[in-house]
Amino acid sequence: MAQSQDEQAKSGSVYSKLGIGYPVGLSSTSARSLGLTGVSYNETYVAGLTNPAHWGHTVYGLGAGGVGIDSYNASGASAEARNVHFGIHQFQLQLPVIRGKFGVSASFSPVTQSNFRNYQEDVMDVGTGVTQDTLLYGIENRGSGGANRAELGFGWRITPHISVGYAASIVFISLDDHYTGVFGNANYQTVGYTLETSGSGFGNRFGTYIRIPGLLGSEDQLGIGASVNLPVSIDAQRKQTADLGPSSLSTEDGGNLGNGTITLPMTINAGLSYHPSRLTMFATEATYENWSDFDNDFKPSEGALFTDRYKYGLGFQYFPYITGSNKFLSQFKYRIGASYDTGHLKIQGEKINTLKFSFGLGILSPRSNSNSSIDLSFEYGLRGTQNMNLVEEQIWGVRLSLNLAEIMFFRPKLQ
Amino acid sequence: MLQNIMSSTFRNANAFCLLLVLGIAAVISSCENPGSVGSGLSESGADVEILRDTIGVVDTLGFNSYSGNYAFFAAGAYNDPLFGELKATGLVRPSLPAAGDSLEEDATMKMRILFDSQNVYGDTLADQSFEVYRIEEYWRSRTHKLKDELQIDQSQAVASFTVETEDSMDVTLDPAWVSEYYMAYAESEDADADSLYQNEVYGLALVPSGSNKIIPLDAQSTRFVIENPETDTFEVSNGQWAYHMSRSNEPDQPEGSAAAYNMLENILSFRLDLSGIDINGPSISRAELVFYQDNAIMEQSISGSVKRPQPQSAQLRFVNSGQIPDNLIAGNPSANGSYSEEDHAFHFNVTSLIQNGLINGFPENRKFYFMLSNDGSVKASLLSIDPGSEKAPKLVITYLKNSTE
Repeated sequence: MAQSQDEQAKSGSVYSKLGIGYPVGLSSTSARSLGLTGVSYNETYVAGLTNPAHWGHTVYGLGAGGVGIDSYNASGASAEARNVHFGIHQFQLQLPVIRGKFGVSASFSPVTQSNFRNYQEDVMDVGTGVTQDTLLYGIENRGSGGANRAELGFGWRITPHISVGYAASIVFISLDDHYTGVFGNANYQTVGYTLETSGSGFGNRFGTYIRIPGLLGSEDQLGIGASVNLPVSIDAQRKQTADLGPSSLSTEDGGNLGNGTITLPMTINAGLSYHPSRLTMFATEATYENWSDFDNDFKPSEGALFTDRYKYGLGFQYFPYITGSNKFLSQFKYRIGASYDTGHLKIQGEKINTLKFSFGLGILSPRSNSNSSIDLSFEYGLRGTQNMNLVEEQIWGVRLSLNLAEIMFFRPKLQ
Repeated sequence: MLQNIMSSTFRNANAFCLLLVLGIAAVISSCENPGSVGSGLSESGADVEILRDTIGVVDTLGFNSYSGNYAFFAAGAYNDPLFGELKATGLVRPSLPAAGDSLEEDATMKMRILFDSQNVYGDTLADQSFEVYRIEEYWRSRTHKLKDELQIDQSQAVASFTVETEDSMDVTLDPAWVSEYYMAYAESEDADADSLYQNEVYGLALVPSGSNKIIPLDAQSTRFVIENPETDTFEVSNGQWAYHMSRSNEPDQPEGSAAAYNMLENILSFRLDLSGIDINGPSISRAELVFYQDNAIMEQSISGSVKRPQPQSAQLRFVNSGQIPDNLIAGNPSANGSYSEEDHAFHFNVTSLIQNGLINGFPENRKFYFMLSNDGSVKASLLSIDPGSEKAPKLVITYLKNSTE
């Protein structure tokens, strides 16, 4: 029996099958290069989402958008799989209202992503008595979608050193969980259905950022940042839909179909950054998400799998371009970092943790009067374990984001 | 100058980095090989399951349906201890010769009959005798019904013959009948000889004497041979054929069993109640309706060289019960079933039917009808209909179950 293949459907982490997908976080590509969320520092020429307080520092009109591709080499106890996921990441527009004092942000960003595909074959007994036989069948399970956030917010720099921010958002869920049964006997039809989950809820975020310049020297600066994402309660519907060729048939009758609630957990980001000079920065940040309170009316049996998530990151960046050197290697922004994520899943007593190493390269616009840049991020990580028949994933990822800070984005008159 | 150099350097750097990214992305996305890894992470998912639902109430009913123009017509008699005393009278009517063929004086006319010896009903090795009589009543093969009796002139036999184990034979017809009822029309100069033949000559009846077996006669191959003393022998086709069958002294069937006879003589009817089936129609991969033959009882009632032709196929009709039997005869069946020697059961693929039933529901006025296929031969089956029995008629649904819980 040939395995079903779909060249168009790409898949990601096998763990994104659980819940409403794997949490994505709000990090920009540059922050990901540092293994951080970006809550503890502000980049003048790069839009940031993690901490609304940073929007109060907006001087340039900023725009950002990114894409990424990840490869997941998954190894189980007796099988291996390779999945590749290409995704469009966050888009953000960040504008100054009072330059350097008050800024606003509009963005669209993923909260969770579910992209998986697996296929399993089995045999079952059919017929009775003398006609008993075995039937070979396979079930392919493909998932796609996730939760996304459409957000509007503002940041206010209350004093030169302290800023706060707030963002309100609508979180949309759109998840498709598709099952296809194929059979090794021509008398059996291929059948399939999709569990479609959709819904929306309101989210709120708060952030603060404290900047302490001249702490140990005349050029240094300490940054302290924190943000809180309040839990989001999503009123959702789930239906089972079957494709009938020219039409489709949906039902909300049945176990775990119909209306329900999905509660996304609270997230706290906090961190410390230190710029010894304009060229360099060290930062360490942590994230807490209380996934133990995650609630999904449509998958109650998975409730016990979720556990509180802690993520720690440490990063270093070096911007030699600031020196004005025209050497080739001095034209880039360099970032390097590592993160350890305890994961939001605990399966059979094993936490699905992720260790990641990242490296980033920022390419500045060749236009002499432009501050726009392209950020590249390269990641390598290990997720999960093969203990208890679980899955270990080797992750390779590349991300690219375009950071616009051009005249069309209200380039300041004074520079 | 410096600005140009810097700009060129940046452009080179950009191109280098973008090429690097594209290269890495191409390597990463080069191949995808999804497998079973991760399928067991959650209890949520889908599985293939089988549901077996017994059909509760099965009724039997019978009709007097058409027996002509099938591939076979039957003649013979057999006292079946399970299904009663059967007597089948074959009805034939020769066509007139084609243009160019003519009968000479003293021509011999023979009825060449071919048997389907594999489907003989009764003692296959015993002799079965027949008398051939003249039919005295108008009939047409399209409208003749199985239980309709025709008036036959049994005062004088046109021929008589005995079938042993051969699969064909020639039966010489009485020259007096040939002269009066065939040659007079075949060689007539009248322009309306054909219509006179249609209205005045009704053919021959093959009446069994004794009750050893019933033989299916191949309708297309059975024909009439005319041997002229002087000129060539030629054949004329069998223009009409049908048969009459009586069934008497039919014993009560064992409890939990029902007899099914072909030619609509006895069929089964039932309703399928899908209200208790919690399956989405499109998730059904296969739905099969199974009717088990009570083979043990059937085999106990025959022995030695006695055989009953095993029906190899059956039909399932889903029609308005207020319009039967007309809608059982016309149109196509909802499903064709085939008999399996493995489990001695008739299997019908009713996947589309059940899918539609679960999606749209079944119309209240429709019922299901199980019918043995009609080919003009005599066939019977004893079916198990006891809902408490392992061999009760059942609906077997294989489906993809959403086990997300």
